[in-house]
Amino acid sequence: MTAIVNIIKDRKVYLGGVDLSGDENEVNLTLEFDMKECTTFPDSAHVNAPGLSKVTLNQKGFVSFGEGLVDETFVARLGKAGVPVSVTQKGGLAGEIAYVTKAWGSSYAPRMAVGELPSFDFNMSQAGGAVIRGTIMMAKATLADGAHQGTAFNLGAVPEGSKMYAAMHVFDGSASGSIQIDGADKITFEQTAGPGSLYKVVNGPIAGVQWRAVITAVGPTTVFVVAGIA
Amino acid sequence: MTAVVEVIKDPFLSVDGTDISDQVSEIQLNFALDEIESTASGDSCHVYVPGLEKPTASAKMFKNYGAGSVDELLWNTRGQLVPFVMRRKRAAKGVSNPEFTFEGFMGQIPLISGAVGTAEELTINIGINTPITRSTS
Repeated sequence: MTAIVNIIKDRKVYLGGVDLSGDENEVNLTLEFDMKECTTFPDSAHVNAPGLSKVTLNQKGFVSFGEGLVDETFVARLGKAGVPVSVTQKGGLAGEIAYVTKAWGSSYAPRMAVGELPSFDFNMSQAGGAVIRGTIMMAKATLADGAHQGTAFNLGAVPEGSKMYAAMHVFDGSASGSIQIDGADKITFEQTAGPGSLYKVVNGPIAGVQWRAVITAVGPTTVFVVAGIA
Repeated sequence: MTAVVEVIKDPFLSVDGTDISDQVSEIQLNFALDEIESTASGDSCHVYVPGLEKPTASAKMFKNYGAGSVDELLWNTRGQLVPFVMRRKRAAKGVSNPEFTFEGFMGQIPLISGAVGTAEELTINIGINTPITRSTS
């Protein structure tokens, strides 16, 4: 059988309340585990066990300068509190996989050389929590004023000891909402003051498998919602 | 002796019991030993003796998505010790197709990687937790 090879063409990168997809041309999200040596008598070889995990996010692309643009966005995140960052595997449709974590900017390197386009290299580090392989509950879309239900997705029940994570990115306008099972709120997003993002975690166990995002927009609002269990 | 040259065409890799050879483009297993210095009186150069084995392993593969995919397998086994099986061919193990087995974990998992217009390919580095077993039957 021939390998299934995906040529990378479309990927979405949402950082807080900013959509960076059209500014970037490479993104690398890596999950690492410390390698802790646990060799003891009478081992004849080095023995290693996985230690703490670490998540790093590297982004590359073209810098733009101005209010709300790339340069301002990255500088505002350097050394500041973590915000949710969602990276989609593909084009970011509802039901597709997206990875989400809460991260802060650790380095930003704009490069401006004569005759070249201004480019950047931006690195982020995890700000606690976890990296989640989530399901896109609502693709990025502009919602009219009022309540909107997303499609229900079978994410499974949350076992004891696991957690449900969810992030809502608001790119313009203002929104509140929830992630529900059978009409009951399991995660609540309070209303944002404007563009921004929220990252929520609830502990299991939670019964029920069909999860749905319900978002209330205040005026026309562009929203993206992702959720997953880990 | 004339060199026996055989181009690698179908390396085998199984992770946690799942055969992902279809997606694999390269596997690598490195045997190494600690070099313990034993230089002593009378020696005119550094002298070493073999210490503990220090194997490393890695695999390069194309990422696919969905049920039973590389993406799902890497995520579901993250941070866990799982069995790995490597052979130079997919055919059953034999004298000319030894099988290497060990338990390990993926020390680094690229969840999302690559630039626009490139194939989504990733390399996993495997932390080895047990001695490597080589078998031919």
